[in-house]
Amino acid sequence: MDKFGRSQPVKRVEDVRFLTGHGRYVDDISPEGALFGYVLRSTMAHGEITTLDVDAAREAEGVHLVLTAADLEAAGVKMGLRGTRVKCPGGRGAGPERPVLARGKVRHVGEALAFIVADSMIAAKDAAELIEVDIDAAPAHVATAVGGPELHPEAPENLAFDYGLGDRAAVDAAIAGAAHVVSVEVPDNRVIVNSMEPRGCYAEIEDGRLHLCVNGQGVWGPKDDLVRHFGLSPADVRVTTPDVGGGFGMKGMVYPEMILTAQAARVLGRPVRWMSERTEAMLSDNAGRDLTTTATLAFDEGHRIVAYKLDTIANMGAYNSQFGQAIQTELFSKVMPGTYDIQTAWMGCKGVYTNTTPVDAYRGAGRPEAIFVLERAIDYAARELGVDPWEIRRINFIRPDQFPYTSATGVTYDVGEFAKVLDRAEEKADRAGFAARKAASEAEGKLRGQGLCYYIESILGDKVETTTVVFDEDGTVQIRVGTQSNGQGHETVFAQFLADQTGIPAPKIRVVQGDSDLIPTGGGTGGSRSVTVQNTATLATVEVMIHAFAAFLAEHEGSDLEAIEFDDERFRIPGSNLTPTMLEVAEMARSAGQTDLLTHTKQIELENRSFPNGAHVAEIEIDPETGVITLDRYTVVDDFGNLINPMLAEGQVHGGVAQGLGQALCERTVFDEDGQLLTATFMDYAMPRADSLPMISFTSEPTPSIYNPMGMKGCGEAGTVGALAAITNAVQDAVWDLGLRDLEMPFTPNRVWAMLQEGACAAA
Amino acid sequence: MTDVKMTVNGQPVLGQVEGRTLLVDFLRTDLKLTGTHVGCDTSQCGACLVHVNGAAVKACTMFAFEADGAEVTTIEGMAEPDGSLSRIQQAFQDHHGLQCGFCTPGMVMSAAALLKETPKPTEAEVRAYLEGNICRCTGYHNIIKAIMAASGQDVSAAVA
Amino acid sequence: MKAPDFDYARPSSLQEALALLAAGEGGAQPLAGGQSLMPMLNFRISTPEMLVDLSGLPELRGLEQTPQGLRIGAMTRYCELEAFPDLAKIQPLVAAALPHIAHDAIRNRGTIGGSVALADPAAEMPAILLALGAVISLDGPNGPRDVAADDYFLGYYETACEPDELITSILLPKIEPGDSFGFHELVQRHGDYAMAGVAIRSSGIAPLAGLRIGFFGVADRALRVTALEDALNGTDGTDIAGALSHLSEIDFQGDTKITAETRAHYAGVALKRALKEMLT
Repeated sequence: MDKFGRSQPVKRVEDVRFLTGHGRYVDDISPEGALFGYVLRSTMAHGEITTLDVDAAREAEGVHLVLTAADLEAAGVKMGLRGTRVKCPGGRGAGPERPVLARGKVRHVGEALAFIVADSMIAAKDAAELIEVDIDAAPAHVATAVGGPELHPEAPENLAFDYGLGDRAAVDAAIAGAAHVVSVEVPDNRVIVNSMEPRGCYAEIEDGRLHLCVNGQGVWGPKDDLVRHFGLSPADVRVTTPDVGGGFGMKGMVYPEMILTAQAARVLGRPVRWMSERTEAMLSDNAGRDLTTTATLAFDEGHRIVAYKLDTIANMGAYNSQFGQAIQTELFSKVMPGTYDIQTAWMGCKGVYTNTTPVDAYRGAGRPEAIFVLERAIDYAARELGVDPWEIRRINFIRPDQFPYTSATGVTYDVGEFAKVLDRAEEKADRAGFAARKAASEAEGKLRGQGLCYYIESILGDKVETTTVVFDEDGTVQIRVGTQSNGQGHETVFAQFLADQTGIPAPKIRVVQGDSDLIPTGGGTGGSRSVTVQNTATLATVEVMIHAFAAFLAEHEGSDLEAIEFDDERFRIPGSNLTPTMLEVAEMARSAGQTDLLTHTKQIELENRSFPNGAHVAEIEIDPETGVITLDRYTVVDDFGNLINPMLAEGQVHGGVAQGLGQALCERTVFDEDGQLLTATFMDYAMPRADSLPMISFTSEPTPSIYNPMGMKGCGEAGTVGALAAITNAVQDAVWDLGLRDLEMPFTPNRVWAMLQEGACAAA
Repeated sequence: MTDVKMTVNGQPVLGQVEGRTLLVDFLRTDLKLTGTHVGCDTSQCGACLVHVNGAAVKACTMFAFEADGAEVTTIEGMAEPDGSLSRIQQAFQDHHGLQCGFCTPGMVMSAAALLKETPKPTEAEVRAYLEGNICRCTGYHNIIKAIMAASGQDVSAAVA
Repeated sequence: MKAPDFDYARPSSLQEALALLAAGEGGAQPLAGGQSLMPMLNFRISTPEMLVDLSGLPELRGLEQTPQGLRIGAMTRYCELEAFPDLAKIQPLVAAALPHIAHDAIRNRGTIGGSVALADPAAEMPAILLALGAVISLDGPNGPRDVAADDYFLGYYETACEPDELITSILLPKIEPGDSFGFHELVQRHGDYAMAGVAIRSSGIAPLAGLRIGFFGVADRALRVTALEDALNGTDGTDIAGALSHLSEIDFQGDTKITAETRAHYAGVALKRALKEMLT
């Protein structure tokens, strides 16, 4: 590991500004005198807009501009937001327009109707109240089901797509001939992402160019969007991203407000800022999950899986969000068969439009969903078949000698030691002591359950990334990266890595990110890609740099290029007393007028993804009298490959587990039959809090990846991927003997108590 | 408009506010103290937590005029006089008690209020005290560790 | 800034405050601790023409032990009540319940009078007043008057306090030797509004006598069920199954977190647990 960066818990440099109140989030840094934008949103889920009269608002005190769909059209702004259409057996998914501002119809509560720009937020809000809106209400389609009141003429029966992957006939035949077949329905509830910092941006005209500053996950996507919507030349657009208060996939997508804020700045020639409030965020941020899958596993006599079949129905919300159609289809498929040797598999997924907020990527994006279904199904099947749930996994694991292993969905896993990791988890979770703990709980009238999830993740996002190293005149060094920190600690990790590779002291290294002018391309943050792909690019750039500096030294010192060595700190030149550091060579080059040696850049493409995997074991206790669930113990053993900064990796796991736990135990999104979101504040939407969790036990059990030089695997999403099934299986374990089989997250007290009553009825 | 006068982080400040100006808006907009954040409007999340006359309060649920004449401390006033991190801030850095940093000012302010009342809290006490602070990144694990460490307790034995 | 525009007044006497409320003809809204009102203003659910800030009224402040009991000025903040010397001896029920009310930062601002004036059906304080047989003192254009807690909570955010009246203080009657108290609430997360809860006063425990049980988080308001109290009086409180049938008198309410049916069950669980804690 030393060769490619020392594994060490280096403290984060960015923490100092965050801890002292000097973070630079987008709402902290808008230009002096920026006007305030406010979005008037639909209060109806579905209907024809019959009146949208903004005259009084335009005349209101302090108001500079009101934009409606008609204004955008008149200004030649392209109205349709980007939305992937997934490739299906019968052709691509539906592509109804998602307009920047609603035109003609509204399709979800919270959809943007008009944008008001004023001297102050309060003036904009006051003016918004003067806008007359009449909507001829249509019945809302809220259930995740095909059919119902139609949202888009382009999507009959509200069907967005009908995706399929695999050999269905072979799967059906294998199921028909199997010794055992077990099916289970697995609902995966909608989650509101709720980054603590809501979405926001500001836009200004800088030297005739458009500058948008947005708290996103990468500047290049928004830049492309601005270019496309406004018909501008890429050279006339700059997008930057400052500190971001959490993204989780939600902030990685295009939203109407970026376009509106930028258009307002263009029209007014003045800076304009926009910041979402919490309820606005809950109504308009892309939501996550929201699908139901029927999973069927077929086994032979020895409990080896012979076929795996999934039929999913996934809620897209009212429109195609940027990657909405890809999440429960292509992304889901990456880990569909998990860690098991299953070569006969089929997954079908129907996407449907509903009069609800659009649904898109949320931490893990398709992979938590896939693993949740699989791990719930295999655990359930084990119980049905009377096999130990841990044992059935061991029976079916892909064996170490089968790698590289190409799965039924066409993904090639490089390495994996699943049984070894599971053994470690068994020990760390003290499985042997569970029976005694269960007996103790029972003595107090409580139910106790232990649940396992063995997950695998596929790192996603762009495989291409670039690192540029710039030696500045003041003796410091910039490392320009194409990834984007949303709070994961990139500034520390990337600087430390470059320091380890070059001997340049970390305090002299400044990580530069999130500026499309300084960094021409990049993949942003997403899919747990950042550290692996960026450090691989940095390694390649360092190699370029060493070579260029050695060539310079060879010429400068008149020595043989081949003989010059770099020992991670200094260059050694045979026959010379000179042992310069990188910084010193850069200064020599500067003095010699060779400015080309002051900037080094290299783009790489990873050979393949890497596949973090591991075991999560949750232990819960249920108070049957109230249905209150306490998460008593939580154990994680992860194979993340080599860890560059174990402290930060572990922090990612903690946060991921908490998000999974939130979805499993408390976060419930409720729309009423009219499409009104009833859980649109933190009073009604229960976020996990400090007393919702125990301390989390974390152990690293690495098998290094062979697809990147550091042997890393990525760790950003894994915590979430493992948590859903671990907790659900723990609940299943606790209530199995009561005859309860249909489980649906979130396991709130009310819902668990109601479920236990069914169990009591069934038993009676 | 109403005149308000208060002491913020030891400095006397004067301002003119509308009745409906929230304390958090006054701090962020008028005083440019942007370390105090807005994460909700219902006093659930705690990103806006400040101290008014020594007591923890949510600056999104208090009007600026209500702080007239008060001593207000924000996250910008929490470092040591020489600018170095305070014990609590240092513990957050040492134990990786923050990721995106958005909830962090409120967490630090809450931690300071807790340790003033309860100098050596148990893990359960820390968790219970933080019920008015939401974090989406850390799973709270390292925040708990940081606060207990800041109270002088050995957290090395806490589950790794 | 999120709230609609309003005029703001900070009167320095009760008379002045009442005059402002009267002149406002329903458009003037008193501001106490603001912990419930301000979110409603931020969402523009509440749109008063004028806010009358009560923080400058000396008549509404102070905590005082009188021969009748503990008199709590309406503008007393929860944190001040928490810090009152010997509270656990003087008013054990209040001391036991306070840590369950929201969280520290809210209790540092929120006032007792504000909670009672708002009368949130899931708040703890109204049920505590019912259990203790508290007296709420009001003042208004027609002069001061006292209202028993039993006659005060009328419906969903509806109380005996008229729009032009203010709560001036609340009297928690002195506890008697032999009094026992119980408190239990079921919450999804600690500090949340209750899914169901009870506050109990009994003048004896073996057997129970003179029971007053305030339920909260169950219906449109905090309430007592006297038939249930009667059924428990004279018993040792261990077998409550029969008495629980009287819960059917309550019109249980459901919401996004909990159905009316579960609430009805939880009310019984809370009562059982509060009695158990009280009797052991």
